[in-house]
Amino acid sequence: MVILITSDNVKYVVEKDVAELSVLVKNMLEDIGPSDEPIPLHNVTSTVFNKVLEYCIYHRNDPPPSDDDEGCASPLHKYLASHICSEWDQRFFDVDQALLFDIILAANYLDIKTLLDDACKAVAHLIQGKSTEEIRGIFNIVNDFTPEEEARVKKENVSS
Amino acid sequence: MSNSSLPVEVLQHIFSFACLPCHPRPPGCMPEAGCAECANYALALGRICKQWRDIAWNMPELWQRLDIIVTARDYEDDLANKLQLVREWIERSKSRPLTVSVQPLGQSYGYCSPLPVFNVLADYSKLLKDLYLHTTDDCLHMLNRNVRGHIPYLESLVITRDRNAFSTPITLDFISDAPLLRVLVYERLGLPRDRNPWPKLTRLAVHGNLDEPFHLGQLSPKLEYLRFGAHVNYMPMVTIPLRFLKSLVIDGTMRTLHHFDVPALESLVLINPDRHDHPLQALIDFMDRTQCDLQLRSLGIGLNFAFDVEALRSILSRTVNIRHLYIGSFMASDYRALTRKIPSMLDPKACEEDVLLPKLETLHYYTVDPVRSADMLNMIKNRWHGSIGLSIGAGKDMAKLRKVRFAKWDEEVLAEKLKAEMKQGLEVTYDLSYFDDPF
Repeated sequence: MVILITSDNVKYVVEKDVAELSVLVKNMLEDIGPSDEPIPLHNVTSTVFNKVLEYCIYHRNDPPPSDDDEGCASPLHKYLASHICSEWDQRFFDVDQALLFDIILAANYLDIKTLLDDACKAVAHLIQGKSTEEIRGIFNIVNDFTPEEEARVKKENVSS
Repeated sequence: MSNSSLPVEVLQHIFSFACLPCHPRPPGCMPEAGCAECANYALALGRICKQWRDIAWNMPELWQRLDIIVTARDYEDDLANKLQLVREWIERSKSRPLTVSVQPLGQSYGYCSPLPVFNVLADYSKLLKDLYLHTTDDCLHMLNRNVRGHIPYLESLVITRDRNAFSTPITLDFISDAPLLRVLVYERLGLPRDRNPWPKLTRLAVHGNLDEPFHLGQLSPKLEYLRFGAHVNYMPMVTIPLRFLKSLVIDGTMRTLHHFDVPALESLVLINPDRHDHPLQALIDFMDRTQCDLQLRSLGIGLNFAFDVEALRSILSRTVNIRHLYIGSFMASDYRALTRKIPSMLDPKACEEDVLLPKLETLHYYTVDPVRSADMLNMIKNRWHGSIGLSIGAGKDMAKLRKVRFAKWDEEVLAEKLKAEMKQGLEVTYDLSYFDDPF
């Protein structure tokens, strides 16, 4: 078992194979060797870590992501890879946007590739088909184009 | 939360997923023109804010796929601006291999030639990897003049000729030297007269006449899929050896069939053969010669004249490993054979001898009239239940029929009567076309 402590000082006792889905934790365990010392997760709160743990426990027996997923995959493969197929995953990511972004940041910090990929797909799915204004709303982005720039970028289109 | 809290590498990750095609593109099919919004997604990301634009503009992979729609409005507005956009798009891909489609919004360009767009593509021909082109004749002539020998990385070409094109024959000379070509699909065009071999070509589909099928063995020996229209009267007495061919679709006369030496064949579809070729008997002769009947997994027969049911029975009785069957007919007067005799023949409960096609899993059935017959319903129900549900005798082991496809029809005739089976998992669709390869 591995002891992990989140940034708000909540202690988790996690099975080693689940904890090692995080490359960060795996590397730290290798560095410190056999020890009962808790591992601090400075950038993750317990609220977010609960979700991360739920994902890792559900996916603990998944085959590791292969290198083929990068670069040379076929368009059909990429298409399939871009869609979250499992119902469980769809339900898992059906959370408010703030939590979804926090999961992404946690997955990035903990270096959990599959969770990062799936969460990014969820966000990509969220913004696909949305208007410029809607996307700005989702990401809390202020339009920093000048009116002239905005008029120009709006005219950019090769498919109509 | 503002986007500034997401690291750039995470935003890049999101962008790469957001710009993937919204629909998978099956090999050899033009992309849907309706997916324009999805095709333009990289540009859409650049409209959000300056940071997003900067990130997107510096991700070459977002710009490797370019779907261009050419409309009459381009000529009324600012065509030069659109051409500049296309150039900038390609430049942002930083010399990565490109997947490009060019097509009109509807069925035809009308009087607006897309030549200016094709001229831009010709400038970047050495980057072209996958091309999906709806062309006019002036574009074809330009490509043949300027691009031949300059497409070293072209792997797939799907090309169709505008319906307003002149009737003069044009050959695809610009792909004479395309050593990496793997997929070639064309319509109303001809193969280059003098071409270097395409040693990597695995998929060739010709919607229309294939001029010289007898050279294929030498020029493209690795073909795995071949579809062509055969309307030739003369065939020299030569063999067409295609050792790796798994799937053969012949649209038209079957006289070419006898020339094929295809030891790996798993799927055979014959559409619209000439009745004077006696296609079912010709198929039996082909099976006798090649002994391919036991290795066939898919078989399709579409006739524009009445089925010889007994000849069909003879074929199906020896193709015992068939998983996918297509039966098609345009003949309304062949109603009795199509809706009673053939379904009864396939019904495991109705047959007296061994079950025909005991491994059948999908049935593709095209008839002019909607299928309402009790024989069809019984056959589908009995096959859906498989040998376990049927309690049929020994020696009649049978797979479950999992999918039935019918012709496109506005009235879903069988759906109501197969409700129980569909609820249990039987898939019934109405999306079958007579002329397409059903498999």
